[in-house]
Amino acid sequence: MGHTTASLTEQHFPKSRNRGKLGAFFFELLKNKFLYLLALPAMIWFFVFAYLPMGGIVIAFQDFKAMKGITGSEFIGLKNFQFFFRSSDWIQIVTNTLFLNILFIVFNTLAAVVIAIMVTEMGGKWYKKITQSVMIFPHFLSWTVVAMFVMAFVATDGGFINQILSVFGIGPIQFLSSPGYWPLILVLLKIWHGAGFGSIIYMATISGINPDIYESASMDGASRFQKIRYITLPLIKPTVILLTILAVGGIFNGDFGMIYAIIGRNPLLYPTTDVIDTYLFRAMMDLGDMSMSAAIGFMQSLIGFILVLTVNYIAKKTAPESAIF
Amino acid sequence: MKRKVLTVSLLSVALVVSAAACSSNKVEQGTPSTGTNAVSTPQPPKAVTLKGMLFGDEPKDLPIVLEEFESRTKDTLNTKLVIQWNPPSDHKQKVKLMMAAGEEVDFVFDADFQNLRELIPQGAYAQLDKYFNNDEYPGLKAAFSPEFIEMNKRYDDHLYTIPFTQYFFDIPVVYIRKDLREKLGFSEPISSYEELQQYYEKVLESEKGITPLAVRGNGGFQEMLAPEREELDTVRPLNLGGVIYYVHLSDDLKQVQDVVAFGDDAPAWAKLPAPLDTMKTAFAQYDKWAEWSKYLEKDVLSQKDHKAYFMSGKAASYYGTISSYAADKKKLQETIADADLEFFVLKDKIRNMEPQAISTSYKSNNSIAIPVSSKNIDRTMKFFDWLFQSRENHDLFEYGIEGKHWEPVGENQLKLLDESDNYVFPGYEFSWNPNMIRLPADLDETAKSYFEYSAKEDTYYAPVLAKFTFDTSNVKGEFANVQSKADPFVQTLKAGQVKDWEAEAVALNKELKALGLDTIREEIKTQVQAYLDAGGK
Repeated sequence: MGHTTASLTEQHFPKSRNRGKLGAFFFELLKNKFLYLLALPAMIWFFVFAYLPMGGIVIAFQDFKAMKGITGSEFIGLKNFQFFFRSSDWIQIVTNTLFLNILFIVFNTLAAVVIAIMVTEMGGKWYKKITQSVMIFPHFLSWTVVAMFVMAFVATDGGFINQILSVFGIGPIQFLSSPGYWPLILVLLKIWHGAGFGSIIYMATISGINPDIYESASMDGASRFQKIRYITLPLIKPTVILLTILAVGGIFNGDFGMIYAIIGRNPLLYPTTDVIDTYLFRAMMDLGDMSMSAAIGFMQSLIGFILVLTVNYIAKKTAPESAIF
Repeated sequence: MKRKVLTVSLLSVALVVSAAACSSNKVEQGTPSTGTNAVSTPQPPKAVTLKGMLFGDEPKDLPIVLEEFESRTKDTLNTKLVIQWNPPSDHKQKVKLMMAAGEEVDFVFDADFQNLRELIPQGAYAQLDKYFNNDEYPGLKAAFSPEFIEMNKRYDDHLYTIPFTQYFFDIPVVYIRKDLREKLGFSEPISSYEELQQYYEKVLESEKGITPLAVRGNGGFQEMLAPEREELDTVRPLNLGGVIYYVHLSDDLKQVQDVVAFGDDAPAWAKLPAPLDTMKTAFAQYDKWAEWSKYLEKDVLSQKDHKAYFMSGKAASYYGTISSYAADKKKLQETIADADLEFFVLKDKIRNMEPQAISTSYKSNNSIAIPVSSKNIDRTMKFFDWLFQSRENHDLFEYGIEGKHWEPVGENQLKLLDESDNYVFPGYEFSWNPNMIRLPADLDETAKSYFEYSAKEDTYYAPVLAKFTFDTSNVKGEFANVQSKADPFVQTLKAGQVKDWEAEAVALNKELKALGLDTIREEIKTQVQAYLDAGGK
């Protein structure tokens, strides 16, 4: 008898909770209908341009032929993924991609935060505005243009750096045939190019901090450095973590625009600079096979997605307020 | 109602008869009618708009040219052209996507370096065999010789393209700063590699800061210093994905005996006849490249635009092909006052303009294809027939409006006028033809004679396996792996940066074998044998 009661409640309970949940869902919709209506265009946009095209992932598992289309092409399972992992260089290439991206994320974030704090601490309205603009400007230069400057700097014959070195009697450094220098050069370029622009969000966050906090700190005799250390930094921490989580999503995507423009096809520099995207570009140059490229692209996104979930999970454990979901 | 229909149809029959009578009269008189009386003229075909896809920048004055074209052909073609100009980097993908989406287009630029090899086997393009060598299309018949058409057939031995080319080979040269050569005491133009080397030595010695030879980082020495020897019918080179394979045929050219790949061990090479029986002799130029690398920039592998490097006065010569001579010379003279450009033709036989000196597959690098989905295939071909019917028609598209953009000089030369900058049309995508070349009138005599030489049919011959093309679809994965592994080595080799290239090639070959080199080798063997069995030469 007792057994029957138990099973009855078991059956009954989830049902009622379900109904309640569904009911709550519609109630919520109805209650905030105007708000949802407001969000509807964006939701439709995301559905049409971000969710529907995901169906195209299927070509990563097909021998895609343009004339047969997505529905008619032959399904070949994981075969498109094989070629990448069969290449003897894939470990090197994945390592390069991760290493460079981690360097980029860490140093760009650090530089952006430092710039943001320095600019906000600055007095003089005009001076501040001009400094800010000067630092943001490189972001708008295309990497192709930057690449030409880089060549003028690092060339062995007549390059700017080597000319300076020669004044001190240091013999020319052949940057363009020494892969060891390039992670450093690329990180410096990345900071110069993106940190100023990246600092905008941190500046906005800092300017959103209640000035009363700083005032009361000053009254308690806190120094400038102490204010930065104990007020500014803790308060922008959630933003830093949030932006880092977002950046981690792309950690498996090499910055093709930058690396191909600067390194181009100089094989001597591949040991430290060849990333998944540049490798794929070279391997697919003659074949132009959509399925094989889609397979690698899919893999990059999938790993990026898993990493975002992982980092978010860690963030949730350690600093719950900065996790995305 | 019925009676009315009958009257109308009777009337129209009468009209047609009278119109036929009138028009035959007109034709006899040889004066085209002006079309004021529709009854008495041959009906122009129904108006049609042909949609096409090319790449590059749309010429600014194209609308004027199209307007002129339409007014000239209103009564004959009654055709409008609408051309979509894709960015060069997107064209390949756009054509593919357009096919996948089933969008209707009447002609697209396609070539081996675009989607042709992939889309033809998929049945995307219409067979065009019947339009050529056909009296209904006299323009095409006159402009495209049967041999030219024959050699441009592909896949299942049908023609799928309208092939465009001016010459069947762009002669490789080293462009030299003439003023510098004279300054350094060489009174006569360079005429041999020995003299070239002396010139380079002199540049190194007395012109500090000037690089003797500029080459592109991923091109290197290319054709330079290549040994000149009689071609062997039984051993044919194939360059696939950066690796050179020699296909060894039986003496009757019916059987494939072996396929030897770059970096194979000595016994494999020993099977080939001399001088190809060792790698050292087969690739004699590679040692020279290593030796000559002292004439290149130190950072040569990073050089993306060697021509610009030369134009800025930093090099004494650069590697190029003859087709850009006029433009490059103009550019140099605009950039550096008193500078002048001349060229050294790399190969003896070509330099001496010997007949049958250049081997070619007669395959054009550029072409237009017509999607099978087009509803206007006949009309599109009628347009191209018109284009090649006369120089007048052809030149309208290739050079623009006569008297505005250019003016003719004699039979086959031209002078560009000031407004020509507004009409720079990519002829290689649409209108090039060996029979319709106009050379710039101000070109110097030496250059002119080389252009005329490369336009002559007698200059060329088709070697064995000229028409063979390798289909990668069975070995895609292997091909991608081998290419990406071989590419960095080949590039360093071509820039002369590998001294002990033989040992390194053998080591590379071992790695390539792990990536599927032998699978590709077997596939080559099978495909070449199938090609020979089907009667291919």
